[in-house]
Amino acid sequence: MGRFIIGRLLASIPVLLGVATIVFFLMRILPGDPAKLMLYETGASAADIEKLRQQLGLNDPIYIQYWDYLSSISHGDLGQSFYTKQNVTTMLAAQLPSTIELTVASMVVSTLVGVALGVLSAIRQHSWIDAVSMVVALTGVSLPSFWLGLMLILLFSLKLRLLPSVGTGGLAHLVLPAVTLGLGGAAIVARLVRSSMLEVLRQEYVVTARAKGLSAYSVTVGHALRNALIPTVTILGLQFGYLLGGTVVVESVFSRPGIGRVAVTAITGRDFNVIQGWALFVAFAYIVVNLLVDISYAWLDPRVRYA
Amino acid sequence: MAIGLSQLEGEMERRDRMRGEGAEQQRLNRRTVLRAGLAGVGMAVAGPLWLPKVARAANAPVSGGDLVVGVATSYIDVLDPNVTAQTVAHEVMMPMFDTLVYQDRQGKFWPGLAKAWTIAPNGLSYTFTLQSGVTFHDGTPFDAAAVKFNFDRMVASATKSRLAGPRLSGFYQSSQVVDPHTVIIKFQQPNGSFMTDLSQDFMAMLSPAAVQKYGPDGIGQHPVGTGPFKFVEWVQNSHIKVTRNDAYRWASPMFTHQGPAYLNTITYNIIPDNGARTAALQAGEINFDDDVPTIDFISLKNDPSYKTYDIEQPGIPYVYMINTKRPPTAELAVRQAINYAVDKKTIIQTLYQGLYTPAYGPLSPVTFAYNPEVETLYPFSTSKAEQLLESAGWKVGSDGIRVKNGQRLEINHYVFTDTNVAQAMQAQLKTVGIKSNITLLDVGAVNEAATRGEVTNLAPLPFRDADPSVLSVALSIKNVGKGFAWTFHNDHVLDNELTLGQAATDPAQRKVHYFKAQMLAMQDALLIPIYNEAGLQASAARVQNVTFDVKGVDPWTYDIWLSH
Repeated sequence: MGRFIIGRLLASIPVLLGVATIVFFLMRILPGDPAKLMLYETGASAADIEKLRQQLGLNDPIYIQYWDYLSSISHGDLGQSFYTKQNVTTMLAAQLPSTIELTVASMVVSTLVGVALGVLSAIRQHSWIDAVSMVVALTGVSLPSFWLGLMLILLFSLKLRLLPSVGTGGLAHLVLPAVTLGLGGAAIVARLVRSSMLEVLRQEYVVTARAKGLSAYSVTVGHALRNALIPTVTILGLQFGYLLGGTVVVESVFSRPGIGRVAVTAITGRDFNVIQGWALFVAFAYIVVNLLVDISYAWLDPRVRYA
Repeated sequence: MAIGLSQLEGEMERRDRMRGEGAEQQRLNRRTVLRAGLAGVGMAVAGPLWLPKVARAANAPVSGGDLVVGVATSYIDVLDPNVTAQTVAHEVMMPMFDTLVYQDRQGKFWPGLAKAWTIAPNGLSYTFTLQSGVTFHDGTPFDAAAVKFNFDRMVASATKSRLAGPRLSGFYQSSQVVDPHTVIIKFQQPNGSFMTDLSQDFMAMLSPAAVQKYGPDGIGQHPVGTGPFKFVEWVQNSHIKVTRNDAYRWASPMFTHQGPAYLNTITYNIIPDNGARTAALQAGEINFDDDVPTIDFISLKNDPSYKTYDIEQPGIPYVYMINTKRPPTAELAVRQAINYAVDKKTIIQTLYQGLYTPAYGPLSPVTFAYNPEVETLYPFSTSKAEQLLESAGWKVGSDGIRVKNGQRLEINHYVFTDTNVAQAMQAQLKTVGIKSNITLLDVGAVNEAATRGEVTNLAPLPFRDADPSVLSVALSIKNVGKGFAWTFHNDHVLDNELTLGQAATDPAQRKVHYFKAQMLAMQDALLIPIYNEAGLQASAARVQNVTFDVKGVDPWTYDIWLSH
């Protein structure tokens, strides 16, 4: 297992290098000049725009810029933001806890809700419970998150005064954003769990377990669900990676700090170093999460062994 | 009252003793009259104490309370006033920093950190006499050396200043420290907008000691000024908090009081979503909202629990610059027809609930040197538009779009953020036979396309600015092709007026040149103005004494107080 993990981590290096290179060149090919955008709010003369470009190193030949970039990331230095003058690593690290908090909370919501709905539908297939659960799931994935978030704020913060509307601070501040983000994921999880469960419930070992006289709970959860979870865990892993990079809408609606917002701001302003740093971070997060998912297979399914 | 009375009596007794016993009769009369008089005054002053609490609260500022502002932005870049060009960054820094002079909304300049100043007749030097006893929040003294340090830093290459530096480049030469309270700022060329720039937060005075301590990149995370509030903390993408500076004794006479500010603290909460921010105000989580969407503004205005503020803003209004090198807008007739054909009042009524005023020129009416004559040039008239196009040879085709020499009258309208105004214009232009193709891209891409001028005919360019020199940014030939001048015109007469307006330090002279410049720009139809931007803000009813700066964006937090 140890060798497996190390092998995977080593293999991630060329992936990260590829991401860094693609994003680097992509940003410089796309239209949009960082210096001009930095000066856009109040305007500036052409001469001043040129001066700022010079100061930011944007007029250097591209291969020199690329080489400088590669050498600094090889030392772990992701560079400085054009706008905030802060170290990119510091910027992302400061926003990360809030995003992780939101991502984990959303995963909890989508897992609990999704698994519950999926199992319920599977064991009561073709009944009204099945139909309703699937409709609820469909609604969850169809509702745009900015609309759902705002509706929840209006209901729970304004009308009922039960929960705070914006910002961070504690569990209370986490509830509405997590529900907003989690419901969409719950839908996907529910459908997947349902179809996996249906498949598993027809297996012979489930019939055997029932025949042995095991309780319904033991059969459903201990035997069936555990096996149905294998494809589900894959999806959960992908979801986690997606959420980690893409919580921007919910973060904006609920005014939560987070790397999603940092990324969107940086992209709009063409803050090259921040965009590159964020892309590397998301790529690395995906790699780690997928690795964890693969390891979890070994735990879930004893037949899986890694050399 | 009692103390005052006995003091007065004591003084009178002393004088009586000096004059001798015979004065006792007179003294008794005088004392009686005096007592009666003082009692009368006492009642007149104390009387209001019996009035209902509400009336008293609305009149007398009280110290205390926390202002919580919802800031409409996704982020704040850096808290270094001499570096950033971001409007919201300056909004949150204004409580922490002072400027040498202040400017009110009527355009008058008031003393600030500089208690007096003289401008040389040739405009090449400004002598400032500074207030004494002023200290930065870190305890270090504010003096002429600090002023010199700040100005030299603004223009230094390493600072990469985005606003102060560009405003000074080509003009600023050096600063000379005459004595700790006298500094002379020298220019290589006269700059008519310098006094206005000097009153803005981007030329505020930063503590030199703090810059040394935190370094050029760290200072942006630890702002240290002389202002009525001190920096407490900045949690990125979440909030900024400042607290009252109790040592503050050098307020500009422009304000309504002296000494420390009233508020205990101000917290700026970053709330990017418009709906969430209004909800936060209504839920009481914030008591000030710095940007209210027009629909919410109307409902808050009618609600006595809130106060609303509608502040007109100077600078270039919401306009679309017209590309004069790309057909068909290369033709003057087409550009003028566009100006006649757009029904601004309907756009404002439909999209903005009638909250803005129509714009007719490259400067908004509250800008210094606004020329009202531009309003006479292109009143809304579809018939005039059609006439112009007919005479220019554009005949209506079978589908309603005009054609000339086999070319259809089509323009490319580039926008970012949203297409609302562009869509309204598209329908209006169609009625006179112009087809508008709308392209929505992000701001960087629109900027790039408009700068190259190969595919764009119309592109948006509002610049909020307190000084008419902003016209050079949008209309000067030297900014064409690389800067923000997207018109690709070649009018040297206009250019000359802009240069002279920038250089003149006499306001009357500046007016002459800028008046001409506005007429030239509109006669050549280099842009299609739509509406004048106004700041729409709101607060809880208990927030008192809210006045706004000359930009029409930021409230003067120093004079604000909270009633109960």
